[in-house]
Amino acid sequence: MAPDPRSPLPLSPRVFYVLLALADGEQHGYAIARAIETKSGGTVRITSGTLYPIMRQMLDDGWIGEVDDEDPRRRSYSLTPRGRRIAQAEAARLAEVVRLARSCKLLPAGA
Amino acid sequence: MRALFHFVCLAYPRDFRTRYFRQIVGDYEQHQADVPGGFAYLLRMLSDVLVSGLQLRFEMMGRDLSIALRRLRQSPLLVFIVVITFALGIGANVTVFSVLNAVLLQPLPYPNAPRLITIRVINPHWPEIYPDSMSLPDLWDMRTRTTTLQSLAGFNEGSRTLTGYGKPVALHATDITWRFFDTLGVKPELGRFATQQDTERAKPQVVISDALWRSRFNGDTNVVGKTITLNGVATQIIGVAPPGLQTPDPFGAGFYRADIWTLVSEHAASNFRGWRSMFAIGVIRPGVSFQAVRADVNRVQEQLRVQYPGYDGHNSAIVTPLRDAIVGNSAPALLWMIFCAVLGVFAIMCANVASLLLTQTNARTHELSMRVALGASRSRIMHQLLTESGVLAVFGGIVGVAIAFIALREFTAVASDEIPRLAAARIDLPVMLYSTAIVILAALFAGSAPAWMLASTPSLSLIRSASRSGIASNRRVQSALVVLEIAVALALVTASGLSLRSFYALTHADIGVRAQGVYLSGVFTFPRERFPTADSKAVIMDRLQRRLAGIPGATSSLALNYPLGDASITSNLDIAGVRHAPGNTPDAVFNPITPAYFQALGIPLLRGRGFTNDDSSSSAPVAIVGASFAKFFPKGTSLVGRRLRMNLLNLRRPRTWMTIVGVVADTRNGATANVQPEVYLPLPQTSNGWINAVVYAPHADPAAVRREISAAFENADPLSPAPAVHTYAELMADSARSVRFSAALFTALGLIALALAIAGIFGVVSYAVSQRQAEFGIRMAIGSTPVAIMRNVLAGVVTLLCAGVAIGLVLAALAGRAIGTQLYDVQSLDVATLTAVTAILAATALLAGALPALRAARVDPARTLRYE
Repeated sequence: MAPDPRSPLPLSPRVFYVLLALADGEQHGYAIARAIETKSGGTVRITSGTLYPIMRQMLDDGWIGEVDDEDPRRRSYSLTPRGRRIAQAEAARLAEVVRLARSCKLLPAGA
Repeated sequence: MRALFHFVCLAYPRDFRTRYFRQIVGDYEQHQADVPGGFAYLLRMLSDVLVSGLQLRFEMMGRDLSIALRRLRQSPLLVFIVVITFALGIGANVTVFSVLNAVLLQPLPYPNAPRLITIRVINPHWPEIYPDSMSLPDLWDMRTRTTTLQSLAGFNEGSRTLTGYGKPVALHATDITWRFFDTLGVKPELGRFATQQDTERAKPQVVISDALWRSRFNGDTNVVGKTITLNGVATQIIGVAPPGLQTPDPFGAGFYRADIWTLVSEHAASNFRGWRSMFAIGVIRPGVSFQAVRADVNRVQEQLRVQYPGYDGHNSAIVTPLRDAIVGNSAPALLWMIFCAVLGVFAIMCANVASLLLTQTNARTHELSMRVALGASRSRIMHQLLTESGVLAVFGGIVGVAIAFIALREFTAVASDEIPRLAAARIDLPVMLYSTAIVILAALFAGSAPAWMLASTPSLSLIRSASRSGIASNRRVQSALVVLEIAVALALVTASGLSLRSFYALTHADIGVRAQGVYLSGVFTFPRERFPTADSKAVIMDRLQRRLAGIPGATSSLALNYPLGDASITSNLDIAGVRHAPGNTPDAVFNPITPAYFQALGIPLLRGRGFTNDDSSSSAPVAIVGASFAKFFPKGTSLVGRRLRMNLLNLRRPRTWMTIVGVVADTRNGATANVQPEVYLPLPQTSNGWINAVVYAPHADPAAVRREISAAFENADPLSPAPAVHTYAELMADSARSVRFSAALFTALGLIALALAIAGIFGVVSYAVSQRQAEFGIRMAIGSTPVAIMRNVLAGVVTLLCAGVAIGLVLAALAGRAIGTQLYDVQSLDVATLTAVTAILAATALLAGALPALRAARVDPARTLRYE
């Protein structure tokens, strides 16, 4: 039986952004880091120095996979089905949080 | 740039580095291509690498640690044995290091410490009289004529009796000249120290110790200016010394704690150049070299020799740094030796733990091979093993430092008199740093054997679980460790045996007096101020003798000194009819006694007569000499009837001729002392500054005799404190203190080493037997007998033993050589000791091997073969 994808939640922002960056398709490390900075509007800042330790853990846990690139210096990464399920679970959790915030009038409805 | 990356990436654990380095550098280069010149980005990148690298490492260590703790919790017995072993080894090490640190490595406790020197003045012709000391006039000249010394002072040990504060109290005093405290560089806690004017005041001046100030004067801040009575003389307190100030004792045991420092006038009329009453301590001017001081002092001494040929004609001065003078010659050698011994124990300890852990590693081959198969790198597993030994070493270290703390307290209590500066030993920062280093070493040594074993075993055989080849190399390492243990244990137990034999010989040596039933008082001093004349002292001595005579069944006497006493006086003498070259007149020990002295000590009268009560202050001067006195005469001369003359102030009629009326057997002042010619005089014909009681009471209750002797002194002079009372057994043991000390130490270390070696042998043989079950089963099945199997196992023990003993004998010979100067009446290469020690070691080793051998002999072939 597959482990419950909700068990590692909540994810740290960096981990979630790595999953988001890979949701569009396979990327290499540098592109992931840039994607994170753009997608977060600069609020999550990350360089390769911190990116690879996070990605190694994700690789070990089987959330992402590794493939060879044409450029021998780099490798590309992609989401595994398990990684995708976890990203979905985290997104659902965040949506639920947003719903809750609305019901408490912390956010304008339908914004 | 690449080099910079390479360097910073070292923060990452290695496996991470090899996997991601190229990608990290590649990403940076890509960024440079996209956004040229981004220096801020480089900085961010590097700091990210550093921080996350260290984070990864800490996480890894934390993981290793939790695995190690979990594993160790599964084998509490192993943990217990290893921790205790580590604790003993580390505890012994830390104790000895803290002593070494205090005695040899720390500076002296004076602000001027590095610049302090002593000046010893010696006369080669009269070496026994006032060794190393200077007269006050010489000191004055030396101080005023030298140019390289900032300050020079004289001091000497003394005693005073304080009255007016309850019972009379004996105070330990230091007589000093006024520059004493300036020379050391210490400042008073209260009041002031002396000035030159102080020494010329009519009323004597004194500085009291912090301890005396607190105990006798309740820390009263108005104590300065107060007048107290010392030896019956009104004396003014001018200051209080800082707490813990000790007086250096460069010619004795390092330091002593004085209660008071009494000021002595530098040029009173009573000082004369021949009375060498002071030791000299000086401080070098800043920036002046030691060689310059030596030349300067020698120049002044040369002037004095020319100027005062009658006093200083033969004297020469020796300048020594105070530190060297205090630490002395024998203590450092002894301490370094002990330190080596402790390192030996430490080596055994590491060997034992390594051996135990090896056994464990072998038992874990399954687990480890699984982990290798699952892709764990070898370096990871080695890390893991080292973490385990590290955890054990840290636990052992904590218990060890606790042991050291207790041991040090006991040790300083026992041996403070023996080793200069020992009293200052404590567990401080340098000792803690040393302890940390030792713990790390222990973890590495003990942990690296299993780790190395693992690294040297091919992976295949690791994976092929419980492989025989791994075990074989393992056993070789273990055997080597056991050989080392036997060798070190042999050397240590030999050192202990030699010291014990020396101690026995020293305490049972014949010094010419009877050993049993004799009671000896310490020195009772007649303060000059209260007893200015011989007659005033005679009253006290009469009272004393009458009371002592009342002790039932006792033979009692008074004497200036006795063998092993510390109050002897040596004098040179003239012998009628025998001519000696000037400057080469014979010396003799001089001892005024009452008639019963020889009976009390059992010293046989060889010729002539003993003293009687008729030998009084008014009768003809007579003397009795020891047999060795004959060496001053031509062979065959009869000593009785010859006359001699002494140059002593203690005589009632100085420089009168005395007739020898008797000859007694010689005595010696201790086991290691040579016989010295001795001259006994009737007590009433002399006038002495002090006296001892010597009482022979073979059948009386010892406690009662001691009480009675003390009471006799208190009764004779209620204003003086009664001296302590000793027996010869106590004095003998006391004189052999340093040997007793090393004997106790080596015995303790030797026993620890022996215990560790036995444990090691037991462990190795048990392990070997457990691994060879199948082999024994087959042997039994094809007709071998249990006895043959036992013999086979024990043969292994004998091989280890022979190798260990061979190396051990060499080490023992070296150890014996090293403690040679400490030994008495035993050769450093003593065959009897070596044989005995080897026999003990062999017996225990065989016993340790016999238990597992017995188990091997009981192997049931059917069962073991079924397991295979």
